[in-house]
Amino acid sequence: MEVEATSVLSTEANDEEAALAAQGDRAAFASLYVRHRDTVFRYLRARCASDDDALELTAVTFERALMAMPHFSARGGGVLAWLLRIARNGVIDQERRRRPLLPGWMAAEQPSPDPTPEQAALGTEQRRELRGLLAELPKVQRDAIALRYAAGLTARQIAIVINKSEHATQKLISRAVVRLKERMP
Amino acid sequence: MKSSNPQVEHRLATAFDDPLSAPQRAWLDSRVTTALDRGPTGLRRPRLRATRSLLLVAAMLIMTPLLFAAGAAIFSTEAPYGMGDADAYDAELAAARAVTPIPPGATWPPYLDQAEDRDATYGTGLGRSMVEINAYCLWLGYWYEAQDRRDAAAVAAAVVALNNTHGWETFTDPLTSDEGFRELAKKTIDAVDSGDADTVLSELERNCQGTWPPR
Repeated sequence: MEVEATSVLSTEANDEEAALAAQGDRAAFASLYVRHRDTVFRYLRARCASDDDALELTAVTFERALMAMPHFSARGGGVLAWLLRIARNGVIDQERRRRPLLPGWMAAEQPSPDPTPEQAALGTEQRRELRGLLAELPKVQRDAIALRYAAGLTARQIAIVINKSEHATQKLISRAVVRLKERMP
Repeated sequence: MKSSNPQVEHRLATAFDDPLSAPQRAWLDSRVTTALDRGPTGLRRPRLRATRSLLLVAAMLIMTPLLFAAGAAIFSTEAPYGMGDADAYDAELAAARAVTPIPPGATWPPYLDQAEDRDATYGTGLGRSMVEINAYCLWLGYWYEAQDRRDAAAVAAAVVALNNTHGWETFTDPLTSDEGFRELAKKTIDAVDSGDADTVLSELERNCQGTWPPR
């Protein structure tokens, strides 16, 4: 199945809005937030151990973006690439903090004591299963898969975010998909 | 990109395809609106909220990573000091380890030897911050054990060292220590000064699990 990329990393409108936001225009930042919140959340949902963690890191991503906005530069893929890099760094930090503090099994998703209707939905089980499989991939493959299938980016766009060549990124994704296929029930 | 594994790709695409639910969106909007109202300069540095999952983990291991978060969270934006690669992080760790005092007989935890993820980018300053925070924890542990065995000389050395941490960059730079963090560190060092072992032990167990208990 060919997944259409739904997000454009760098467009004139995006960059103009980002330039305004960088100058302190709240409405411009709000508009960027509304446009990209779902994409950032989807990416984080594929990278985090739970939806709760993903939601929290989505908020943290936009809070950090707001703090860093005055230093934003459109170089390096535009505002969505920039947001996804902030999100990715958030995941890396979270993993790094947990590693020395928690045994491996504790870092895995814990059952929620108070499941929401969404968590009770069928999709949650599918996500849990896939998260387990993704967790077995090398980090860079996990990132590429999350950016591709959760955030909907193309290989070229992913290459910008993870700072690799487009060719290397395509190979990463292909290898990861093959590996997942081998492990899928 | 051509698809060679359509079933796998379909499962991946559909599993994570749901947008934010209405309650999730409402919560997120409220959080970002609050941040916007505060503005970039009035925004407290983000710290991981204790979500249900995190709460569960934290309650079981008392993980509250306040000290680690203070060092790590702020540096993960692309500002304020920029980002570097794993080699730059390693160099920072080495430089900070060379000048940061630790108690006699103590060793640095292995995760401060070098960057664990060679592909990751690291905030400039994070390496120094991690070293200083871990040194602070090592001195807290040293103090706790010294007072437990009634070693007055070692207690005195730890009191001096811990009071000196107030001057370390991690503890003074407003970009790496917000008010809550400074307050916590001050409260703990006040406990050291007054010989309050229970408070120190609680801090060791809560925030120093990288170095406590000593291996």
